[in-house]
Parts: sequence; C-alpha cells; structure tokens
Amino acid sequence: MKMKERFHAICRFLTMVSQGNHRVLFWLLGSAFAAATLPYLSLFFSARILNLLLAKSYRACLYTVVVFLLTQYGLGLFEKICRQYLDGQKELCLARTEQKITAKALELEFEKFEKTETMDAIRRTNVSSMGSGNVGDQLIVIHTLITSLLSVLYALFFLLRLFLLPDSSRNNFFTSSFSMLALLLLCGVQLALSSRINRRSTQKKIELNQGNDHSNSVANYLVNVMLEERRADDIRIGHLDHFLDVQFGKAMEHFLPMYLDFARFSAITDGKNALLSLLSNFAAYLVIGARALYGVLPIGDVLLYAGSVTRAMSDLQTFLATGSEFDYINSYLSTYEDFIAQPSMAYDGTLPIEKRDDGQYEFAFHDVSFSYPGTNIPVLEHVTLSFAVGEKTALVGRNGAGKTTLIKLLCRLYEPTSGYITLNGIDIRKYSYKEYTQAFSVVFQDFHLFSLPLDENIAAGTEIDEAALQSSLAKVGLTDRVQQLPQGVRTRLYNNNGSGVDLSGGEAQRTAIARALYKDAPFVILDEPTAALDPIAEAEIYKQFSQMTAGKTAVYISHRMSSCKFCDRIIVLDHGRIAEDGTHGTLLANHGIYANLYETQAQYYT
Amino acid sequence: MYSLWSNYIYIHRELWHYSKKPFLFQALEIVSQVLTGFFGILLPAGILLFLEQSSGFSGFALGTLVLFLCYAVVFVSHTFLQSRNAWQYTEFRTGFFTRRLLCHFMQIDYAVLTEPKTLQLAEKAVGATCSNWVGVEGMFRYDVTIYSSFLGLILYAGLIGTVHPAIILLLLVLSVLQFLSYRRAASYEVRRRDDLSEIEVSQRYFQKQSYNTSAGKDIRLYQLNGWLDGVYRQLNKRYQKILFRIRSAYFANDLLTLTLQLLRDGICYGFLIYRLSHGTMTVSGFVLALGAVSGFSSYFNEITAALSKSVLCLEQIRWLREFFDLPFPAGHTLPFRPELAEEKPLEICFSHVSFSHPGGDKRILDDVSFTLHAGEHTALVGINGAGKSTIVKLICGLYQPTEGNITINGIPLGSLNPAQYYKAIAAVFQDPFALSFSIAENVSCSPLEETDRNRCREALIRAGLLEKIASLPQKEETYLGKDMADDGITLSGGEMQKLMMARALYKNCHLLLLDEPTAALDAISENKMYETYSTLLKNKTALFISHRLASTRFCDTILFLENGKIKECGTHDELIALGGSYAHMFEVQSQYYQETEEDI
Repeated sequence: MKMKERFHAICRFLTMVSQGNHRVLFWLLGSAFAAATLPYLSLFFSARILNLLLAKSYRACLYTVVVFLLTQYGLGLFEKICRQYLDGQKELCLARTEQKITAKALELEFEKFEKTETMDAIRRTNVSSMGSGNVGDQLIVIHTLITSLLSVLYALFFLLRLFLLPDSSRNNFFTSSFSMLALLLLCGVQLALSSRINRRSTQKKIELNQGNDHSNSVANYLVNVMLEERRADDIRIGHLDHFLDVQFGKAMEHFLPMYLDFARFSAITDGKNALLSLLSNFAAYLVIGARALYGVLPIGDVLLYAGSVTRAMSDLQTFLATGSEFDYINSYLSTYEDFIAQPSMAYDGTLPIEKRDDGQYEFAFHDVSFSYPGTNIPVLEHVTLSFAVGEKTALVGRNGAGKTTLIKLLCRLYEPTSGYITLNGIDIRKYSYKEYTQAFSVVFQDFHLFSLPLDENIAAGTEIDEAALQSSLAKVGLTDRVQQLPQGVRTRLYNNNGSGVDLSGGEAQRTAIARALYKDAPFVILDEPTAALDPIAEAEIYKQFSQMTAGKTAVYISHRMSSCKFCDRIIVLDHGRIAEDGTHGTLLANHGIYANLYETQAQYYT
Repeated sequence: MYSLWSNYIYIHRELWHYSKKPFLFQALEIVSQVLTGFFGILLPAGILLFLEQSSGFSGFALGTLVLFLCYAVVFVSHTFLQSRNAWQYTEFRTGFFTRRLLCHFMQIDYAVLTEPKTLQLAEKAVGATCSNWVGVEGMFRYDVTIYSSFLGLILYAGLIGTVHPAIILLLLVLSVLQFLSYRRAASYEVRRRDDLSEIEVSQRYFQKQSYNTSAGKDIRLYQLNGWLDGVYRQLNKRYQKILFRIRSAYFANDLLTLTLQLLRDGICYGFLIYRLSHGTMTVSGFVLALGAVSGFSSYFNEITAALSKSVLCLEQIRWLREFFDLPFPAGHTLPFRPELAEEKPLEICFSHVSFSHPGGDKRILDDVSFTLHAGEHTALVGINGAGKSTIVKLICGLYQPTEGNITINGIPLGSLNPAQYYKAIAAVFQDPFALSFSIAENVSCSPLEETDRNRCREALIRAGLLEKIASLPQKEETYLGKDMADDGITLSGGEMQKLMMARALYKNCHLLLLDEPTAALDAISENKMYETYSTLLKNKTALFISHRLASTRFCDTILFLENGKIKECGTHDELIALGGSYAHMFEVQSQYYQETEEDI
C-alpha cells in the first residue's frame, strides 16, 4: 500500500473508532510522543553523565542525574496515564465497533441482510480478526506506527548533530565525513535487504491465510456443530462423533503442516533480519567509537550516537513491519468500515401512513411475481389479489407453494421482482418503512423471542403498558404461567444471555402471539401459529381467534385445514399462483386442491 | 480439586507424551534469551572499556568485533528460537487438546452434559484451549519468561554483588514492594473480569441475534432495533466503567513502580558516583552495574507478571482436567451382547419407571410401565409438557431412570454398551439434524470413503428421495447447506424427513423413534409420510409422537400420557370407546373436521 493510501486508511480507521470520543486521539498522540521520547531522554542524559564522570566533575554530574531522573519520572508518569487509557480504549473500541455493526445489521434492509454474502463477510471478518488482529489491536498498531516514526525523527536529529560536529586535527577516514556516509550507505543497504525479506514474508503470510480460508471455515463450522448442546442427542444416537472427528482431523491435517511450514519460514526470516540489524549496529559503534578515539567527540557521546543509529534502524524496521501489519489487518477491518458506512435503510419511501382508528387499510397485489435474488425460480407468479378490510383470509397450499413468501412481500421484507403492492391505492414502496410496519401484527412460523425480560419482549421495547400487557397475556392463556415465574413479567427468557427461564415450544408460541396482540395493529398475520401446540391448546387459540382479530383484517396460514373454517375467505396457492379463491363451502364443492387437502386430513376424524 | 502444582505437572506430562522436542527447543530459547539480555548490557560497557583504555584503533576494533560476534550468535539464535517456538505450542494445543476436547464433548454422558454446570465447565475448558496466551498454550509461553527471568535474576544479582551486596538487598526490598502492588492490581482485575465476562456473554448474544435471519424479520416488523441497540449500548457503558476502574488500578501500580524506580535509580547513581569519585570503580564498570540494576528490576517485573498470568493459565488447565474427568455413559466399556446383534425388532419394556432431573424435585415421569412390542407401532400422545420427550430420551438411554427398570429384549438397558445399542436404534427429532456435508455422508453418518454406496442408494430409494437426488448434477455427493460448498442445496421440510428416514434405513435399525416428525408438513405430504412410515417400518418397532391424532390411526397401540403417568393405553377404537382423556382430545381436534350444515 502506498504511503498516502495508508495515511488515508489510518485516518478512516481513527475516524471510525473515535466517533463520539475524540479524546482517544489526544491520548494516542500523547502516549506515542512520551514513548518515543523516553529512550532518547535516557540516551542523551546518560551520555552527559558519562562525559562528566570521565571529566571527573562529580558535583555537576550529581546535578545532571537529579534533573535526568526527575524528568524521566514526570514523562514516565504521563506515558503510563496515556498508556492505561489507551489499553482501556483498545477493548472499548472493539466493543463499540461490534455494537455499531450489530446496530447496523439490525436496521439493514432485510433483503440485503439475508443475503449470505453480506453477513458472511462480517462473520469471516470476525473469525479472521480473532487470529490476525481486531479493531483494538489495530489501535495499538497505529500507536506503534506513530511511536516508531517519532523515534526515527529523534534519531535523525541526533545524527544531524553528529554530522555537523567540527573535524578534529587528525585527518583520516574515520574523522572525515566519508566514514559517516559509508555508515549511512550501509544502513540503506540493510534497510533495502530487510524490506525485501519482509515483503516476501508478508506475501507468504497473506497466501497462507487465503489458502486456509476454506479449511478455516470448515473447522469453524465443525467446532460449532460439535459443541452444539442441542444436537448432542443426534450426535450420540447417530454415532456422528466419529464422522465429525474424522472431518475435523482432515481440516487440521490440511492446515497444521502449512502453519508449521510457515513457522519455520518466519523463524528463518526473523533470524536473517536480526543478523542484518547487527551489521549496521556494529558499523555504528565502530565508526562513532573511532571518531571518539580520534577526539572528534567525547567518549560518553558514543553511546548516545551509536545508540541513536541502532534505535533508528530498529525503529525504521518496526515502522515498516508495522506498516504492513496495518495493511494486513486493514484489509480485513475495512469490511467493518464498509459495513458500518453503508446506508441503513435503502427503502426510499418517506410517506407516513394514514392514522386511522377504523382500521381501513386495504392491501392489494397487482400482478406480482417474485424470485429470490440470484435465482431464476419463480416463487410467485402473476399474483393479483386484494385483502378486503375486516376480512379474515386463510392462505392455503402445499409446502413451497409461496405462502410465506407472499407474506414477506406484503411486509416489505422483499420487493416484488415485477408488479407492485398497494396500501389504500398507493404503492407501498412510497411509505416510510418504519411507519409501514406499524400496520402489522405478525407471528411468523419461525418467530423469535429475545433473551431479555418477558414484558419487554411482548411490548417490543422498554416502555410497557401494564394493562395491555396483562390483557394480551390473558388472551393467550399465559397469565398463570407468568405468575409462577421467579420475577413475574420481568423474568428473563432463556439462558443464553445470563440466567432466565426456558419456555416450551408452546409457551414461546403463545408469547409470540401475545406480542402481536399487544401491538394491536390493524392487519394481523399468523403464519402457522399453532404448529407447536398440542390439540387442547390449539383448540383454545382457535376459540379466541375471532376475538383476537375482531375488527381487524387478518391473514392466516396453516397446514391444519380445520382452522380455515374460521375464515371468511380461503385462497389456495399452488406453485406460486393463485389456484383457488372462495369460502370453505365453495372450495369443498369445487373438489380442487383445497378439497383434497381438507379431505386428506378429515378422513381420520370421521 | 486439582492443585496448581498438579496442573503444572499434568500439562507438562501431556506435552512430554505428545512430543519431547519442544522441551529441548524451550531450554535453548531460555538460555539464549538470558544471554541476549546479558550481552545487551555488556556491549556498551565493553565498548566504553575499550575506549577508556585507549589502546588504539585496532585494539578497539578487535574488541568490538569479538563482542559483536558473540552477541550475534546469541541474538540471532534467540530471535530464531522465539519465532519458531511460538508455533510448537500452538500445534500442541490445536492438534492435540482441541481435538480431544471436542471428542470428549461428543462422548460424555448425555444427562451429565445437559446439566447447566457442565455447559459452563465446557465453556471454560474451551476458553483454556482457544488462543495463544491463555490456558494450555499460555502456560508454555509464560514458562519461558519465568525461567529466563529467574536465571537472569541470579546472573545480575551475582554482578551487582561484586559492587556491593547491600544493593541486592535494596533491589529485593523494592522488588517485593513492587510485586505486592502489582498483585493488588492484578487481583482487582481478576475480580472485575467476572463482571466483564458476564457482559461479554450478553454482547456475544446480541451479535448473534443480529446474524439470525428469523430474528431479523421480527426485528424489522416490530421495529425492535431501538430496543435491542439501547440494551446493547447500556451494556457497553457498564463495560466501559469497569474497564476504566481496572485501568485505574493498574495506574496506581504504575505510580508506585515509577516512584520506586526513581528511588532505586537515585540511590544507585548516588552510590556508584560516590564509588567513582573515590576511584574504586571505572566508568565502564559504572555502566555495567547500572545496566545490571535496571536489568534486575525489569526481570523481576517480568517474573511477577508472568507468574500471576501463569497461575491463571493453571486455573484454566484445572477446568480442562475437570472437563476431561466428566464421565462417559455408563456401560461404555461393556462387551457387545450377541443377543442384540440378531436381525430382529426390539422389544422395549418400562417397568415402574420414574424420572426427575438430578437436583430437581419435580417428577417428570411417575411410575410408568408399558411395553413396546417387537415389530409394533405405538403412538405416544399427550399435551405439551406431559413427559413424552423424556420417555424418548429414556428409551435412547440418554437419561437413566431415577427409579424402575427399562429392558431391551429382556436385557436391562443399563447392561448394554451404548455404542452397540445406538447401532440398533434411530431417532428423528422435531428439527432434523443434517450436516453441511454430502447427502451420502448424511445418510451413512460416516466419511465418504467408509460409506457403502449401494446401501446408501438403496436407502435413498426406499425413503423416496431418489427422484430428488437424480435431479442433482452431483447426485448423492451433492452438499447440503452453504457452510462447506457454495453450490450446496437446501432440502425442504418433507425432503429432510425423508433424508432422516434414509439414515435410519441405512443403519438397518430395529427400533425407530419419531418425535413430531411431520409438524411442518402440509396435509398431503404428511399423509404420504405416514403411509411411507408404515410400509418402511413394517417389522420394526416404532414409537411415534405427534400432536396430530390422525397419525395414531397408523399405530397398533396408543399410550396416553398425562402429568408423567400413563393414563390410558389401547387401540384407537378402544380408547374412543373408553371415553377418557384421549377420546376428549380426539373430539376437540376432530370437531373442526365435522361437516356441518352451514359448511355445505
């Protein structure tokens, strides 16, 4: 990466982590300044002290020692404050970035969110940043980068002074400027060589990581499966432990030798670099020592100047190596930046929806077709239908007929591939999405509750209307159960976010229905709401069905045909098309798909 | 409870058995590290000495060259070893411990596994093997620091002792103070780390939710992002507060360290300058002594930090050992019983079986007795929470009855080796478990090279999946899911059920347990599935759990479970005639299918 690009990348990174916290920058620079200054402070004063000692002026020496130690103490304290702050920030920046990514994932357009590439990129970045450096590590990398740069500047300052020292009377190679030029030349050669070595090793590191991407994700998948407690029964009964272990072994066999190979390679690289660094080190002591011998400078200064050269070389190396480390981590982390920086809701709509107390919201599909992005398989084809206000509609069809997809389109989780959907005659894309969602109370087949307090789950937030909460709990028959919970409605659900209570499948489903009831939206959608319930509980929900949806428009999806009898209208989907549309009676008389489905089930009950 | 020391021995013994080479390289690294440090302080002092003596350029140049050559040997070998050795511990950790841990997790007794404290222990054990500077690997890495610092301390103490023994005493006193102060900060951190890890669990939780697509739908439609993000931000605020308290504790330690250092340097400089002014010391000796003093202190700091960190590692190793001590299922060492190997369906008999979770006082099953006759199909019916899944777990031998006996073909379940028993049974649970591997591997549950292809195809044909498989370009080698292969496919709910059926057929099991296998299927697919079951499972013992009472028509016997007891037992017609709970439940469900006047 070019210097300029890298500078921009650093700025971009710092902007990302310092958002809402600009003090990070101050402490970062302060700490780098102090960390770069301290070694030179010590070199500088040590030289003076040595010179005074060699000149046997002990009193002046003591005075210098006092100044030195006190300055070092003060600067040291400053450095520690900065450093502790920075170490805290290191973990915080990581936490904050993760929070931002999470927040972004929560508000991303669903279609984009569900795309495997989007989330895979983030997941992969998470995994690789565990091994190669995360946001916090990158902050420290930048710190090292600035420190080593400042340190090189100090060294240059001292070396310049060395150049400008007057020649002594003795004239030979060492007292002349040639010796200095030769030294510089040697340093240059060393730098060139070692940067070539480093380039190769960075290249190899990147190749290694790319070559292992697949095995890495395989191993990750396997580890997750093997440690999945929910699957422990399947694994035992199916004797899958052997299979999984063999597969894990294969993944390891693929990458362990590669890593060991790389380890040998990088050990040799490091050894070579170490040897190279000693060359200039030795030359510096030799040339500068000789200059002192010939009286160009006091003996004590040898340690200062030779020390400066040594430090300059190692700091330059650090600077270069850290630079490529930065690039390397950055190549992963930029995924985060891009992710956070992308627009939240690409939903263009801005219209608020009409607030109506009468629930007069009429939705209509106009010749809607849909295929999932990246596929050519039509899931819905030329669907035209409207949901009359206050009507209860059952959506029926075989698995894969497109029922849930139709609901997803209606909820704007996906946009139709062709055709459009209207609300009260206006294309739904024109509404603000946030407003639009207020029209729906939905219980999806794969509904989701969060491991947070029960009442917040139902109220979908921290502001809770106690009366509405109790009434929706009562409607789904959970009041008694909730009273038995250790902290009543405040009890946390599940155990994966600290301790809570586990809900059975049926209880969870009722809770999800309670959430829909609490929201009290004019349009109710229930996608297989009783799948996990036993017949008795199911019958209770059915009984309350009309009460729950009184005065509302409702769409109901179920494989249990019996439930369709509650509906005013039944729409049968078949292979993405509307095949039948009517009431229970008319469709039975039709002897079509619906009749077939119904009779298949009913035969056992007659 | 393992002592720290025994954990230390344990981990080194394990490495010794794994490979002996690492010990040699570790020893070399330690020696080279001490020598590199030593030459680091010897070098400037030596060069000053050559300059001081002013024996001319050639003397100076020769001396410097010799010094540098020695330094080069130790420095280069140290750099090489340090870089090389970092990997030998990683290899040991990932190649040995991670794999062993994963295997153990998959093999320990199921009832033990599902206890919450086991899962916590497992999480800690995973933590001990998850990265470079913790647990197993951390131990070896800190070992190097501890041993080389210890050797370095002795070396420098010797050097300083030649100047004045009292300085050693001073350094020791200051170092002990320093040690106490560091330990205070470190133990504060350890205490607060528990709070932090609690928050981290929650942070991970929220991150996971954000990837979950089913959560994604609800989040959007209920506009839950504000709520979730708000909770997350609150978490981060608490996190920040605790982090800065910890950093402050460390800064208090820094303050003391720097002050002690000031004191130390003041005294040493003063004393050494005094010695110089009296001519009892050379300037190069002065430089060497100062180097030794600061070297001594920094070694002491390093050893302090490394010791307290390696204690944490040893603690983690203890968790790992406790995890490895978790028992395998009872009977895993028993010999296989030849009676069970015969090709005949199993008969399962429960007599007076009761079950409650360990530590729980609630009886989930209460004095349950029944027999699943060989070759018969039995339906297990009851409302949610009646104990149906527990019966399945007991039959699978995953749980042991608290009271009573379970026999398989007359043999007590407890006297069977689970490995043999699992070969004879298969279970299909509510959410079928397919791995993101090839279809063939999912059927055989073995690696492709160990899979009997003909048998696999046969099983797929019988389960009714042939049509689907034939339509795929890679046939049964097609991958499922996108985790492993970009062109992996997704099976529908019905196809997944068939795949599970094929798995059971491949296994040639004699007992099949089906826990709500058709909950997600439409009426026609469900009906077909049941017809398939009843033909495929002819002459096999089978237990069905389903909320759809229609399925009971395919069964020879129905068991009705209520509050952990078998309340009714008989054929569908018998139970309807009985007019009890089953009849009521059937009534409730069937009323929706009764044709009434208004329907027609």
